[in-house]
Parts: sequence; structure tokens; C-alpha cells
Amino acid sequence: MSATRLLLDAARAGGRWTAALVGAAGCDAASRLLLPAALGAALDAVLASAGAVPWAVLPAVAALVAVTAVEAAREVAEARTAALAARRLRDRAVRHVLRLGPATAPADALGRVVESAAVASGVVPAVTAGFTSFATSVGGLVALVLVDVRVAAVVALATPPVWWLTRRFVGRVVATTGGYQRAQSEITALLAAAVRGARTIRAAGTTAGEVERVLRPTAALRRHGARFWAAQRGVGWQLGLLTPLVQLAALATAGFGLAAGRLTPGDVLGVVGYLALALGLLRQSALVGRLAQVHASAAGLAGLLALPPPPAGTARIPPGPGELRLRGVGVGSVLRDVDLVVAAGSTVAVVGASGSGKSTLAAVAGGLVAPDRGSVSLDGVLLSDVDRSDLTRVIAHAFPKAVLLGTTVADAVGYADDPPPPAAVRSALRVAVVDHVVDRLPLGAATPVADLPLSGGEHQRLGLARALSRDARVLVLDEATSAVDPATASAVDEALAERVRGVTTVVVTRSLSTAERADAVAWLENGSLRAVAAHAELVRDPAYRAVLA
Amino acid sequence: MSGVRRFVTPLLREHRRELVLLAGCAAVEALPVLLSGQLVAAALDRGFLAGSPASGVAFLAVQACVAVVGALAGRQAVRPTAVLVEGLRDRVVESAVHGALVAAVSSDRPGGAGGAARVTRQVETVRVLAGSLLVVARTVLFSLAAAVAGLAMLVPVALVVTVPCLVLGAVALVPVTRVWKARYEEALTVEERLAEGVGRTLEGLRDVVACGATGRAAAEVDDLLRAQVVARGRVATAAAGRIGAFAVPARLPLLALLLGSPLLLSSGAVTPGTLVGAATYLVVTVEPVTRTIVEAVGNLGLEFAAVLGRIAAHDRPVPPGRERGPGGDLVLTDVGFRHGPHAQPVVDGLSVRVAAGEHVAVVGPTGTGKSSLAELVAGLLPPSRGRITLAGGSVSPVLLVPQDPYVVAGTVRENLTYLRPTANEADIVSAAHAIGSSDLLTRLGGLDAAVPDTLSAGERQLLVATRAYLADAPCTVLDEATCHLDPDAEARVERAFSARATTLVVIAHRPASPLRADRVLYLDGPATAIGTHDDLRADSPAYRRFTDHWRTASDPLVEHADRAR
Repeated sequence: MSATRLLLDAARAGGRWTAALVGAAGCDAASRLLLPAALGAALDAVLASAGAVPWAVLPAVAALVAVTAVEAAREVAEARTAALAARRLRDRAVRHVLRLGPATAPADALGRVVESAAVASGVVPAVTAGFTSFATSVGGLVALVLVDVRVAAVVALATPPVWWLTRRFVGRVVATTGGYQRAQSEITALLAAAVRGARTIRAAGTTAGEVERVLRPTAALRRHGARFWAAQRGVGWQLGLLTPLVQLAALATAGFGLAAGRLTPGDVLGVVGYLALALGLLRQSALVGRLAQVHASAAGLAGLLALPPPPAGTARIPPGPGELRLRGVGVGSVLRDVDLVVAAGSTVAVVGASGSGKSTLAAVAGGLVAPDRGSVSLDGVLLSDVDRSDLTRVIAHAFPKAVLLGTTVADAVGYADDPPPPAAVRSALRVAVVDHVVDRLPLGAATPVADLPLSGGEHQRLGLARALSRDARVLVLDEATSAVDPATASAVDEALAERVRGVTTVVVTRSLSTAERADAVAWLENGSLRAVAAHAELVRDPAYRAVLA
Repeated sequence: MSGVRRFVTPLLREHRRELVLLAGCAAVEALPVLLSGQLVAAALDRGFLAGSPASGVAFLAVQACVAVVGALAGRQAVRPTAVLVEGLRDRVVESAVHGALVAAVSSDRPGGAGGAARVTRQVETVRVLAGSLLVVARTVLFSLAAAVAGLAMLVPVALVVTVPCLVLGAVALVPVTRVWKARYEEALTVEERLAEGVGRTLEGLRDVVACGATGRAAAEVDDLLRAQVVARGRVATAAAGRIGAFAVPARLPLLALLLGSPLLLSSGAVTPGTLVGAATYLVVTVEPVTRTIVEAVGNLGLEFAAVLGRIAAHDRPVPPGRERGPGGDLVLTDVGFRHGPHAQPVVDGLSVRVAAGEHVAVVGPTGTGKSSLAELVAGLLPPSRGRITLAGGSVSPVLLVPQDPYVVAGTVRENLTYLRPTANEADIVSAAHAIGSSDLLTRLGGLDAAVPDTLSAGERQLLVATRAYLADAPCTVLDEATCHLDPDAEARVERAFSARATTLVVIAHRPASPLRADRVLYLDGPATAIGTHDDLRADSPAYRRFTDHWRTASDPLVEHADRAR
């Protein structure tokens, strides 16, 4: 989908508010264009009438009322269309990212969903504002031509120098911003480096000196800032002078028309009003810039939406014992040619040095990441053919660092579209040996998950409980107890061994006892399987013992 | 408002002269506005309508001259504006950098480059907004006053309508703005909650997918999105109210002029020229100024205050520097530490005495609290129970060298003398020689060369080890501070520290380290023990198992260490 089509869709999401805004923009342009003529006509009528209020005043009154009403209506409609467009854009983006999954979603997805969508959602206000501005300035110029060609000619003559001055001004300002931004990014870089070195700074107690160091480029900042203001002084005032001079020249021209009887006093008032509108032509570049920003942001979002989600089918997984088969599986350069069978109800420990591809293997085995090469099947069905929601029903994951979502602790553990029953959540907390921790929380299992005072190990056990609360055929545990203290870890191991009896389990581990307890060990080295065997066989190899620190 | 009070009030107090200058410039700048209607009226009545176009042009030429004077005054206004804006920027950037750095240092949760970028973005927003606000205040307020004054001179009776209308508009604006501000802040909160919710969902994308909760996650985000539509709608309604509150009274004078003009004309109070002149004031100045006030001033001011408030809220005083006092025996008495009130203790009831000048290696399985112990000893973490003392009292004589070295952006000398700014060339050279970093310093191009970004992790550690050696602290704790060095270089660093009369604690990650130490502290929950390597091998089965494991895991290193012995 192109950026333009995405923006059209966002505009459509505004519904009647978009229609209202387009209408209001038209009314705005019309009432602003009518106002000077109406005021001029009213003035002439007043001058011609002797003492009574002439009916000709009415259009001017109507135009004034219309201008105010349209301004207010526009304010409401602009905010509504932008908010509705933002909702549509963000909803589409979030849903697509959820379809893409963790392996395919780009790292800057959050920025695109929040920032890009915010800018792109201003499409209807930007287009309508551009339309009104353009229509009133062109209309103002046309009106000037209609009132007096000579006045219009004066304005037309003045336009090139104003353009030229504007470009010079912008050019000088841009030249100063370069240096200013360099000094700024220097501060950013120094601050980022100091923040990364926070531990050293804390240990050395040199915070005050560090603040000074980070602020060192402020002198350059000040110098480049001064140049920016010098540009303002140099060119800005000439630009500020040109507009009134053009107005005065136009007014003098109109004065001659008045003296010659070609124009009425009302016409002169009209000239004053239309001049202000026509000079708006010189400000179009800002609006063009705004539209360009909207389009660029939409392009960023469109790029996100264009990413293809990993393959998924519609097949259901038939009932079965839970036999997992990996055949020639490869993922980029992380994993190569992995052939592994996890027999139904058995436990396979995945071991290897850091960076050997253990987590990737676990994610692929659980269908969380689609392999680039080879295939994964569960009870004879290819995972890539299976419906996503069916897959998460039969396979559960636990991670070294769980992100706990949901409202309360109970909700976070049972977090799913189709949540497990409360009893399953309670028993899972027990197996993860975290039930007593939860009981001690201020509101127990009803404590909000956002501000849990938990250690890394406790947090990890909640993540483990989340996986255990599901009635899954396959459990994939990726270093799910690596931060748990040794005493508790052995308690978890014991409870877990009982719980996973008969459940196919893939467990990534560095722990000797876990490897010992597994039915088989898959030993990864640099992305390939070095051996698949029982721990008792492998343990004689010192290289194997080295990976179980 | 606290941000405004924190930054703007003292700035204005300090720069009274600039404020007066700015007001003076603004007053002169408003002259063309003040005279515009007058001169238009004169040009028409006494020039173009009186059959003497030349005098009409002359009046307009006068107006042009006044416009030049006004523009020059505007030019003069740039300087005080610059002083105020850049002065504010100076204060704000200082405060924001303080805030970010102190927060990072005291929380020990590195924020990364994102937070740093946010700081500069906020500072720049403040600068741009301050500039716009000053320009708007200068032009809008003075033009409005000048237009009203000019109108009063031209058609005095018009004041009867204009002044009450503008006052009415300003008064009506107050309560509506209050509503609008409350709703605006509410919408900001909703927006922040939305960003947070989306952030959490995407951060936990893997978890959402793995939990089979994509439908639920999308629905939760949509709830937040819907709340935002409502909140923004409420802001817009209040904003529309603001437009009505101000724009209606501000435009009434023009209406009144139109409706009253037949009477004024017939009574001789106005001429056609003065009528056009009066309308010029209202159409050319009051109308656009009204628009600016309604559209810009409120938003700019509120955003300005909001950003300043956020920066002010994050600022906090810099913690006092750490001065190292004299050393002595390091004594830990029944020390316990846990990360949270419910967490299992990481260190539990540890009692150890390290003699002054001793070299102790700390080893043990991961997760047994080695790094926590390092921070406890250095006084960076308060123990949950027990006492840690080092003769010398409250001033910590302990220097902790963490694993991830902070190499500052600057010269080699700056990096090396970071902890001892008074060190001279000879000190540096002999420290580099002891640590084994002389070659590195030569390779970097000498002491006054800038440290490149491309240093390897090992080179960084060597540089920081030299820095720590140069600091000559009574007690140095190396927390895996040499893990990226090769075994030879690591041995040289440890031996350099150990050869001095100061205390050395090494959190070790290689089997060779405990062999070099006077004593070994084996941290492993209940199996924790302290003694010489040989005693521990003999007395502690856990230590024996652990070191066997370690040995076989890194065979070549053990051989090397044995040779080194």
C-alpha cells in the first residue's frame, strides 16, 4: 500500500468529520474572500446613504459572523479528524506488527506507531489548511485584478524580490543551524556516553565533573546561536519591511484610482483586505513543508505495513501425543542444518556456549520464529500450515526475561485471548515456587503488575508460571530460571519435573542438574548441533562440561 | 508552572535591562501601526479624495518612512531577544543534563542514547518556543495597543465600543482557557498512557505472540486509542469555546463601526477617509492579531510551561564527590543484602576481615552476589543488615573498577588522570609501565592524542586499569575489570596492584586469579568460605568441585596459571 492510499484511508476514518472539515475549509475560504468586498460595499453604501443604516451592510455582517463560526467549527473538526485518523493508522500498524511477530517486526516499530502516525494523522487538517491558504491568496490576487489591475500589477512586481529575500534568509538560517546542530549532537553523544558509564561515575564520585564535561560544547552552542540571531538581524528585518512597503505602494496606486474616479472608498478598503490575503502567497512554502512531513511519515508507516508477515495456514493441530520434529532447520547464519526429534512426552535440554543459537532453536521449535530453511512439525503437521491461535494453544513458552503484560499479577500469568481457568493459574504459581511471593504482595494476586517490587528471579518465576498455567502439549523453557537463586532453583526444578511428566519439553539451560535430568541433550556449537545424546554420555567431554558453567 | 518559576523568573530578574530595551523597541516598532489609520485617512481626505494625489502619496511616503523606523526598531529588538532566549537555553540545558546524568548515576539503570536525545530535543523545543513567545508577545501586545490608541485618536467615539469589547473578550477568555488547559493536560496524560501502552505491547511482542494474546493486545491498544479520540475531542470543543469567547468580542467593533457609520457620517464626526482609516486599524491589525491570540498564544505558552516543568521535575542536585581517606583493614560484620523486601538475600550473614595491603580474590558460581559484594564494599549499595567498616570512618577509601569501563571522550591524559587530576607525566609513565599499557599509549599517539571511539574492549580495560592504578586508592576492587584482556596482560595488571602496599580485591572470572591472591573468598550461599587456595581446596568440597569444573572448562588457562605460579 502506498503512502497516499494510506493517507486516503486515514482521511476516510474521519467519516463525517472529514466531510465537515472539507466543507468548513471551503466556507472559510469563501467567507474570507467575501469579507473585504462586503466591507467595501457596505462602506460605499453607508457613504451614499444619508443617515440611515443601509441593507448593504448585511453581507458584511454575515461574512464576519461566518468567519468566526467557521473558525470555531474548523477547530473542532480538525482535532476530530486528526484523532480518528491517528486511531486508524495506529490500530492498523499495531495489528500488523502483532501479525509480523517478534522475528520480523522492525526495531523502530514503536517510533513509527507513535511518532509517524501522529504526524501522518494531520493529513486532513494539513490538506484543508493548504487549500484554504492557497485559495484565499490566489483568490485575493484575482480579486485585486478585478478591483484594479494596476494594484494587482504592483503586488505581482513585488513578489520576486520577496521570494528572493525569503530564500536568502532561509539559506542563512539553514547555514547557522548546521553548526548549532553539530554542537547539540556533541552534547547528546557526550551525555549518552556518560549515561552508559554511570557505574564508573558513581564508583568514582565524579558526577559534577561529568556534568561539566558534557556541557563543554555549550560554548559552541552559544556561538552558533549568536550567528542565528545575527542572520535574523541581517535579513529578517528587510523581509519584515517589504510587506508594509508593498502594501503602501498598492495603496498609493489605489489612491490614484480613487482620485481618477475609477475606484470608490469602499474599493480602497477592499484593496487593503485583499492585499493581506494575496500576500499570503509568500507563506505557502511552510504549508508545502507540512504536507511533505505528513507524506514522509505516512511513507514510514506504509513501509511497516508492507512487511510480509511470516507464513501461517489455517490447519488445526489434530489431537496427538506431542512429537516435535525439526528437519534441516536454518535461521540466517544463527542456526544451520538442525535435525532434531523430541519424542512425545520427553524432555530435551538444549545447551551450548553463549551465541551458539540456543534461544533461536527454542523459538523455532515452538513456532515463535519461522525457519528460513527446513521445517518444523508437531505430530506430523507442519507448524507453518497451522493457524496461529491454534499453535499458541498447544505450545507454551517461558523466557529468561519475561515482559509481564496485563493488569494484575493473576491477569499477567493468565494473559491470553482465551485465558486459563483461575485454578490453573494458582497451581502454576505453586509449581514455579512463586505462590508465597505473590501472597506477600500488598494485594496478593490482585496487585497491579506495573509496580511490582520483585527481584529478577521472582520476575522470572512469574514468567515461568505464565507458561505453566496453559494446558500445553509442548513446553519451551528458554533459561527460564537463570536468575533464580540456587536454593529456590532446585525447588523449582523438582516441582517442574513433576509438572512436565508426559509433556514434551524443550529446555534451554546452563545448569548441570537440568541437563542431567533431561532424557536427551542437544549440544549446539556455532549454530549447528554438535551432538544429541544423553548427558551421561556427553559428560566425559571437557568441552561439553565447559558449556555448563 | 514550577518550570516557569524555576527558569524564567530568575532569568527575567537578571536581565531587566534587556526587558526594558525590548519593550522600548517594541513600542517604536508599533509606531507604523499607530499611525497607519491616521495616515490612510489623511491620504484619502486631504489627498486622493481632495483632488491632490501628490499630497496623498506624500502621506503614504511618511507612512513608509515610519515603517522603515519600525523595521529598524524590530532589528534592534533581536539582540535582547537573543540574550533572553540563549540565556534561557543555557539554564535549561544545564539543568536537563544534570537531571539526566544524576538520574542515571543514582539509579544505576543506564538509559542509553534515547534519553540523551530526548534531553536535547526538549532543550531545543524550549529555545524555539521561547523565541516565538517573545516575538508574539512583542508584536501582538504592542500592535493591539497601538491599533486601539490610533483608533482612539481617529474616531474617539469608537473607543466606547472597542475597549469594552476587548476587555470583555479578555475576561471571557480566562474561564474558558482554564477549562481548555485542564482538558489539554488530561489529553496529554491520555497520550502518554497510550504511548506507554503501545510501548509495552511492542516491547513484549514476543510474549504477546507466545501467550496467544494478540487479539487481547490489539483490543487493549484500541481502548487507549478510543480514549484519546474522546480526550482530543474534548480539548477541541474547549478550544472552539475559546475562539468564540475572544473572536466574537474582538470583531464586534468592526460591526459597530459599520452599523454606526451612517450616524457618525451625518453628524460630521467622521469623514470617508477617517472611516477607511478606522477600518484599516480593525481589518489590518486587530483582525490578524485576534487570530494569533486565539490560535497561537495559548498553545505556545502551555507547551512551553509543560516542557519546562518536565525538565525542572527531573533536575536534582549533584551528589557530593567522593574523597578517598586513609585505608586500613576492611571489616565486614554479618553483612546481608537483598534486592527487594521479598527477595532472597544475595549475600547473607557474611563476616570477613581483609587486612590492609592484602590481595583477596572473590570467586563463586554466577548469581551468588559477587558484584553486589563489590558494590557493598565500595559503599555504593547500603547493606540490608550488618556493618562494613574500613579504618578511616565514613569516607570511603575504596575504588571500584567495574567491568564495563567508561572511557571519556577526550585525550589519553584526561582519561588517565580522571581520578587524580594532579598526576604528572612521570607518574603516568611509571603507572603505564607497571600496568603494561605503555605500548597502547604509544599506539594511541601519546598522552595528548584524543582517544578514538574504535578502542577494543580490552584496550579500554587496559586504559581504565592504568587510571585506577594511578589513583593509588588505599583499597581497589576490580570487578571483572580485566575480563577482556588476555591472561598475560591480566596477570600483569593484578600483580601491579598487588605489589603495592594497598589492598586489592579481585572479583575473578578466570581460574588463575585465585592462585595469585593471598586469600580466596569463595561465595556460594551456605558453602561460602575464606582461606588460601590450598586450604580451601583441602577443606571445602564445594570449592574443590567449583575449581575442578573451572579448570576442566578452561584447560589451557589453568596450565598457564600453573606456570605463572
